[in-house]
Amino acid sequence: MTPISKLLIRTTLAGVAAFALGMLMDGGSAKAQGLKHYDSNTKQFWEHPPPDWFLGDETEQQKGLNVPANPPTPATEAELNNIISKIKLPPGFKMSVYASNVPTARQMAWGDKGTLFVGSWFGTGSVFAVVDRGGKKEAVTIIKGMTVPTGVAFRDGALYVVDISKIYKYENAEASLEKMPEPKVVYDDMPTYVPHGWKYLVFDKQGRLYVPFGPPCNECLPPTTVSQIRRVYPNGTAEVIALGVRNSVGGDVDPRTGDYWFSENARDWISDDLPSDKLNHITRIGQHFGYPYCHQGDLPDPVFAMGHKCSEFTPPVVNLGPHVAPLGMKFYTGNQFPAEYKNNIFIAEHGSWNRHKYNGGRIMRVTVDAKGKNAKQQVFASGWIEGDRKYLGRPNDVLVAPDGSLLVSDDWAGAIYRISYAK
Amino acid sequence: MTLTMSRPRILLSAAVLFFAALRVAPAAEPDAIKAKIETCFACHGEGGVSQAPDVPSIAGQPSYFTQWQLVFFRNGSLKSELMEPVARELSNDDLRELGAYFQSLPPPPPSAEPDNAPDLTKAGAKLAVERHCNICHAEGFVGQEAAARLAGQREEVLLKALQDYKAGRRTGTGVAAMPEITFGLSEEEMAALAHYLARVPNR
Repeated sequence: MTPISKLLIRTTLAGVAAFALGMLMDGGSAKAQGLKHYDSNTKQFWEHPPPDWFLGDETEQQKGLNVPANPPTPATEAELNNIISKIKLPPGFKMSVYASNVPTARQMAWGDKGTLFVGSWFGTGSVFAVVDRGGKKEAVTIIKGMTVPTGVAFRDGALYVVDISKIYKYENAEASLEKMPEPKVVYDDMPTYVPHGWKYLVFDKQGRLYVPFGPPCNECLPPTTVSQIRRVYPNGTAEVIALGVRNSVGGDVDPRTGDYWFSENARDWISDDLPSDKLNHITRIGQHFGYPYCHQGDLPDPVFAMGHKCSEFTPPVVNLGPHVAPLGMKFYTGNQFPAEYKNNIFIAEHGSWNRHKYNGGRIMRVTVDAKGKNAKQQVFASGWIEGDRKYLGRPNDVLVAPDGSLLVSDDWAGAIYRISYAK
Repeated sequence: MTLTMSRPRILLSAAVLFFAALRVAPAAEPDAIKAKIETCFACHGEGGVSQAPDVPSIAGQPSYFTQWQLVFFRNGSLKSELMEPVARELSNDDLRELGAYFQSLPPPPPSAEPDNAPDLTKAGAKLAVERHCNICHAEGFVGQEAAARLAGQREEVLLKALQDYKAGRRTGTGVAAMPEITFGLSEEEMAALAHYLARVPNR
């Protein structure tokens, strides 16, 4: 797509008219620019990336695609009603709005007493508590002023929040919603790189915290402190449990085995249909999942394969599709859905930006055995994308509610939905 | 209009009419929002075109840009003794209406004053290309989505914005953008960019 056509699509009508007028007056001199390329293998790039760092591997084919801007305000009631009316679900399931007015809602976590904690994205920088106010769910800002507190978790009365390079612990959180206590930093041996620095938090039964570290680039030989998954112990020590991971912003512990599974976003700028994003399963400590050498289990990188073969690396459990952007995921451990949903994996797909026709933007259901064999995937909830490139909303996390329904957070519409089942 | 008008002029006139029609269409102003708009104009100038060096023009800004700035003032992440109390009174619906309204206004006309530092303008023009300002701020720096219209903005306002991003007093909406770009800019370079962008004619 040329810069001109991109502009025509992305600017407002008035802007387009102004632009057209400008074209008439200056004879249409807007020049096409050359393809962009950055060397993203330097510390300078990782620490101070150019503003368009994610466009640094531009190709003729994908040129002009850019990350769409989040709406500044959460969806109105009318907009949410429209979304609800558009979402397709299997028979017997229905979706409603659990909470509206939760700007850029990201990862969700339950407090012991039924409070729902919600992280957020750039521009918001807050953590919310969704509480019951006279039968209506209301999102209250309990922490603000962070950069990108996407990940939240809850354990033994304490709320944990990750903001790029620090994990904070807020003791006695549910009793302190009016005024949160000063947090304690429980882990900060983490780089401050902003690109792919947003994270997700998952506790296992033993109280160990799983934390993903994305590379500060699209495709590069990344700093050795990232492209990995770490497990942080309650005493603040940590171990690297997986290597060769690109951008992971979702995972869960298998209730059947205690193994950690995670979603992973593949590199951009190869094509609309390559490579596929992945669902992975860690079966032993230190497995390497291929990045930056090999994508989707069978596609050596055109530049960064560096002599490696895909057979050297741990393949995905299942390829989820190109540019679907799988983020938050959960094993279904509730009792409300039909029995065959038990231990299935729900994955929230945030949807594309680097693709001419957006893919994902839905909730997938993956059925797979505890060893990672016989994986089958099907669309569970869809309809958040209108036409080729318009988002009504962007699901990014799922959470099983105490009553067995499934909550879905949407950082575009700034809302949380509830999907329930009744025979 | 005369019958002897040349073809380009007809096109131009048609474009102006089309343009003018669009300008009028979205500016429906219920009374409640009208009062709020008047409050804005009191400082930002009649029609949203600032008459004070350190006050930004808000006319012709993309709706998302205006809305995000008001969100930042409202939640305290952008500090201003003047704007915070104003923004705190605004609902999400107000933000949307104000954003759409200011977007519909004609952007500031080019500065009538002669360029007192053409070398600075030249340096700024070169920097704007090198730093890819147009990728987010669009061709002609007219702004798009959450990225501001820079063309014709007050020079002091542009310089202060760059300085604030560099000093960490201001954050953007994007995934690493303005703080990153300003990190590599010297005080002289920021002055050149501000000087140049303030003089880019709007279209």
